[in-house]
Amino acid sequence: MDHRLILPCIFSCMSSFSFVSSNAQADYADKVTSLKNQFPKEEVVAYEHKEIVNFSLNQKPAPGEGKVKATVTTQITLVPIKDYIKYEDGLFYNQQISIDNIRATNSKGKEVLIQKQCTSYSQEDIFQDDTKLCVVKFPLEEKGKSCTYTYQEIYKDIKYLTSFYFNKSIPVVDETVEFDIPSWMEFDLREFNFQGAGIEKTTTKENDLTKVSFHLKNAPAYEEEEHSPNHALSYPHIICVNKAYTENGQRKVLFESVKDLYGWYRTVCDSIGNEPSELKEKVVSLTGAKKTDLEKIEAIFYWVQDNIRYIAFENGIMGFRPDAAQNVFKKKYGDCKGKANLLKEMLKLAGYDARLTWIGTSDLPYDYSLPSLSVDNHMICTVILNGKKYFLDGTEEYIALNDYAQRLQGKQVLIEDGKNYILDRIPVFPSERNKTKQVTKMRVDGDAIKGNSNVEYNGEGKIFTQMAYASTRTENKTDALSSFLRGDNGNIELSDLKTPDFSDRQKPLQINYDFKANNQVTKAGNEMYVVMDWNKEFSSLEFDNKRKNDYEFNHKYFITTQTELTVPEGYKVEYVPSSFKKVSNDYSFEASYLSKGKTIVYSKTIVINKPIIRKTEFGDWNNFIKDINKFYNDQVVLTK
Amino acid sequence: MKFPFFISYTLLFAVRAFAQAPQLGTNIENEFTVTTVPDKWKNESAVIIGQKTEYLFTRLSSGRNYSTVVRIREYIHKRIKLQDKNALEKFSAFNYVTMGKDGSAEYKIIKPGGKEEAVDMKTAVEDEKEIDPIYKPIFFSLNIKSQKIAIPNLEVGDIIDYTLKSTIDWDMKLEGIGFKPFIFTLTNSYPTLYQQYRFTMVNGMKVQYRNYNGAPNLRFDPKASVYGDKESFLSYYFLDRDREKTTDVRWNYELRTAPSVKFRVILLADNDPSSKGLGEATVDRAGLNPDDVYKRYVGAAGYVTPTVTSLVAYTTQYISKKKEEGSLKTDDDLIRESYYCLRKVFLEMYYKGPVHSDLEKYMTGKKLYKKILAEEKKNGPDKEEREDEIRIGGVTFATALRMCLSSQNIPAELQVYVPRSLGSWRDAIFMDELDFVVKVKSKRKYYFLEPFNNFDAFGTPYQYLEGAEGYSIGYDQANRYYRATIPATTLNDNLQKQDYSISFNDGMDIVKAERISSYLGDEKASLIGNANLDRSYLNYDFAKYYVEPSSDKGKKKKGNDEPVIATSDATKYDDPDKEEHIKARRDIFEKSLKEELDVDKYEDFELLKDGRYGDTALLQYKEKFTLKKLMSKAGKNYIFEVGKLIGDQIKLGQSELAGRQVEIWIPHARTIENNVSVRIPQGYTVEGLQDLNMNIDNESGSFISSAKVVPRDSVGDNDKLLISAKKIYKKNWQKKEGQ
Repeated sequence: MDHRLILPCIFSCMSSFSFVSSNAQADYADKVTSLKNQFPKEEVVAYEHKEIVNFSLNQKPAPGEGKVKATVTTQITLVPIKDYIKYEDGLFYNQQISIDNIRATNSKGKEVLIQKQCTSYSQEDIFQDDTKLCVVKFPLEEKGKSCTYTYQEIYKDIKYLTSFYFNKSIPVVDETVEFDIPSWMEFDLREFNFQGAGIEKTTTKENDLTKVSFHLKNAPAYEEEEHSPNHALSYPHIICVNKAYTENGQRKVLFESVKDLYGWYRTVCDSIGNEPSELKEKVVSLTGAKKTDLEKIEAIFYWVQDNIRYIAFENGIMGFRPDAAQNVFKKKYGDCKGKANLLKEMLKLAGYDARLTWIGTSDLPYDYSLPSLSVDNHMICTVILNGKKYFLDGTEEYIALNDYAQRLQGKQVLIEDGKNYILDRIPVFPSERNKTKQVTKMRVDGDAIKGNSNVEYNGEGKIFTQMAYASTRTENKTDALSSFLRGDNGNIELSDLKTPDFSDRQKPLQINYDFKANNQVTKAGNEMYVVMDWNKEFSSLEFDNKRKNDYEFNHKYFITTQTELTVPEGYKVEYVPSSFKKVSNDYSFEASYLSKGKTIVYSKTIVINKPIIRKTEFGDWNNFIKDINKFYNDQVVLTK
Repeated sequence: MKFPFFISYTLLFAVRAFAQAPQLGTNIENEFTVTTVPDKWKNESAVIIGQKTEYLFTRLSSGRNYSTVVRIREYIHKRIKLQDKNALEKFSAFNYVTMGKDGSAEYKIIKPGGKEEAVDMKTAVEDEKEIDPIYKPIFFSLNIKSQKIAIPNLEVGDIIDYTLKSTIDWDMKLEGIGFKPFIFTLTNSYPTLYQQYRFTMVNGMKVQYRNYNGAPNLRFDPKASVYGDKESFLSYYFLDRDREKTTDVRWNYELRTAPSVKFRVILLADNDPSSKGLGEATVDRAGLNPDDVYKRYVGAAGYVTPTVTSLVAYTTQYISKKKEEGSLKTDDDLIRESYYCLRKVFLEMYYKGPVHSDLEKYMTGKKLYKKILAEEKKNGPDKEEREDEIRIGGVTFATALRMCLSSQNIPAELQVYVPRSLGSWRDAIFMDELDFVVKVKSKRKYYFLEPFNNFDAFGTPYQYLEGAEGYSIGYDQANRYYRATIPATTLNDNLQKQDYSISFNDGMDIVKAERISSYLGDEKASLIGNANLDRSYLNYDFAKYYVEPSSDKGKKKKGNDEPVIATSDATKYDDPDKEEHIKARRDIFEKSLKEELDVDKYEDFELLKDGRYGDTALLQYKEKFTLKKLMSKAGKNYIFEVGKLIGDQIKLGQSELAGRQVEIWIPHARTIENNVSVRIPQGYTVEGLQDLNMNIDNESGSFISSAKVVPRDSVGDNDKLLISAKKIYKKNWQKKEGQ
């Protein structure tokens, strides 16, 4: 009953800004047709897009500012390929980055009135941070009449100058990213996903400046699609390494190696202000009755998973510094850093060697050979027990000790070690970790198939099911679980659903149910055709040529199915489909029907070892699916 | 009560004349101390233990008189028990808004043992919203604060208890005398133990109120009321207990089935406290007065503007010409062609005139008549504008059509109605609930005509008009109105039909399909815009309804009857983005088909009938595509899943079948027909036809299907399998089980 009489419904719109400009622009009318053919879905194209990075020394840095600053000047020549559209751009900034000199001039060199609306930007899963978004809007003229759009981003501390991507929100015909590096600055540029991207790099020297330029022609727009990997994994980009600068003959190191990066992290974390005594009572209550070290560690790890909600405050430096352990403990919420720090302090109180640990998840293609703030995006806690490292991610739910989420597997970790640091890697598990095993016994009953199934979930599938079940409203849990097990297949009805303990972390999750499957039996004269597999996993996952991005699975898969059909009285087995096997390193499918007279046993194993299918591999994948579908579309024949 | 003698006369006068206004939030009902929930709700995600919304209306003084400002205090109190993790996550953080300098929020949690923990409100952070600059001064002057807070130490089993207090000063001079009307059901997303809504009002105010579908009545509360000689504060409230949560039921209009209330607070714009007009606050329980409705709406078809004059002049000229030619014979012809000619002129003005936002608003009537009718509110979800859709303003349309028909001696009326989803006329209390259509009677039938968009055809039925109750307003004489209900459409008015021609490739794994889809009535509403995305219809419109300019072409006429358009290319429309529009249309239909079937290749889309002309205008298009996964193998046999082409039957879930507590409100009666013709490859025979012959019929609907094989001699070189299925929904309403 939230019907408030006096609440005004007036939340929307923007403020306006204007700038003076005098640049004369070219007419691109003769290029409209070819641009339209090249980028048929677009309304506007950036004919030129240039970013120039300059560096300067800040003689008297204010609090929050660095000794070296950077300015990125962006100039875009926009060419509309439709008449009179309104161009819209989003510029992000925060406490470390400001935006300045936003202006646009039309083809006659006349200033264009810009509407600018700046507001806090809510990122998914972050309750509060300092990210702001300026939405900039201005009108363009008729097609072919260009508009020059410029703005500057000022990095108050160069450590926050991290990455440059080549694919923008609109296509770019001629793109340049140029770094004007003064001789007092030691600056490195690391290239990612450049292979086959067609990016040319040139280096020239002009007096005191080294100019490093990257050029790319005809860069398509970045497009969001379902199951796209994070853009860092697929799109070409540059990561900046700000190594050192020299002032008055003195060389000052910035982030030359991981040692320097760790040094800064350590400085930030020195001022957390933990008061572990406030956690003591809870630690004692959790571990008092536990006998072994692993049981005690588990008790603390699972308590944090179960009781600390994920709410992230990442304002300014809080994006890097964990909230104090006692605060997270009292509030019962925190972000990854807060949870990692709470775990560390609780485990230390319990007598264990626990340490803060930085990690870049599988969304990032980097390791700590890259000394940059881009290298990681997550924090966990490492416990070292009898020489073995256990990596504890407090943001996970229902994960057991010594089990690791797909997003962490194989990733390098930076573990605190006083003044030093330790580099290690999270173990990689084979696809069997995520095994889903379904055992079914069934019989023909009239025009339907009836039977019983037992499904066992492990790894990611198990955790997903547990999380989904827990987060579903109590009164809807049974319906939701039933719908999940049916795969939303309207032909299947479930009954006698036996639900297990959904909170158990150690054992596989087993769900047992009876079912009735309609429309899986066809009778024709003396013959009966029976579908024994209606799940047909991956049968619809073919990629058409419209897809722009690689495809990322939720996780690796290992699916096994064993189904036994009792041959109805009076019938005999006339035909079973031939066995089928297709195996590669990345994925495989193996299935067979075995007639045993009174029964037919159907077995199937699907393995997906590789979480990402690249666009170049789509053809092979589609052929794989076509072959699977031929097998899926063959049915058992019984005759009287 | 005696006052000490030393109190000055002035103060004594003031105290006796103006009673002390009651305070909000001082009386916490016992219901808000409850910590347990009934057993029947133990398995609910959360339970609302109590919620109370309270308003206090006082008037500010200016000397001895009232000023024009009304001070409104708002108090909201809510208490929710969290019973699972879903609720824990949902109530982990709150976004809230307070108004006024003394606006405040307090949150606390109550642990299962009874311990209360106040949330430190200093941890709240600003929740910046996008605020239109023109409203920024209002936000500033009203001290509106939008904030959010994360609730610490929250666990399953806890109770969240919060209060929000706000104050605003409402200046009647600027804001008007009436607040916006509220219509809502008393069911919430969680079951509710106790809920109360309360208005305490100073003299000269009233609350319009209506409860229905079993909702509680508004009651006077003498204990909470405060009386003074010249000014009193009367308190009215409704309370509701033990209310089950909202259930998401198919085919339901919630406001017709769930307990619901309507209310609106009205202020009297009189500044003299001694005025008799400012009596004690009252409740107005009256329904709509037909006389008032007439006065309010009669002008809606009589608002002549230059646009209307232009539309009427052109259309009258066209109709007269066609009458002279003898092509318009019946009054049905005249009504239909007047409608289409008006549509053409309107579209021509839009597509050929300078497209300018102000013009657009003017053309679509948003600026017209706005003091009388809130046009925007009329445009509910059913009338939502699509990308390529423009709609003429309701008043412009009603006036223009009535005037056009009047010149042909065909009377038109205005039908004012309550949309079907809102409820019956009996329960309507606000003018804002009403809408109108033009009602025209030919010798043959009544037509109910809405302000058209590009794609509406003459006499198009609309879901919201089905059985809608209201009044007809006539224009042949003053003060003529009568009660009238708009009839429901029949199963023949709304048709969805698909005809498939099917053959197979040599490998017998791909199905080659040609499909002709036909739609009539409301069934075409969601498709017609996309089907006509190529805008070819504009050429047809412009050519068919073209009128030769009169002999004084080129002379600038004075006055309002100047024809709107008379240029050399007036019969054509050149779409600069035609190819793009055609491609976009194909993409839309390809995507739609892919959501329906496993498409191998989408090959062609062709619009056969655009659905925009005639009396019963059929939308019809042909698609060619190939499908996969419809054929499966069984030994040497092939199984063709023809059922997937006939369309899914709506399958009611167990809970829907067993527990339905409300009547069934179907959008309209309709017929769904599927015909599939399958070319049988040589050497194959068809088995399993017996399952496809079915005939079920009852008073609500019917399902008839048949299948037969036609030998090759009569149909060409191959045998053909012909399958036909027809689903009919005969009624738009069904009573619930057991009624």
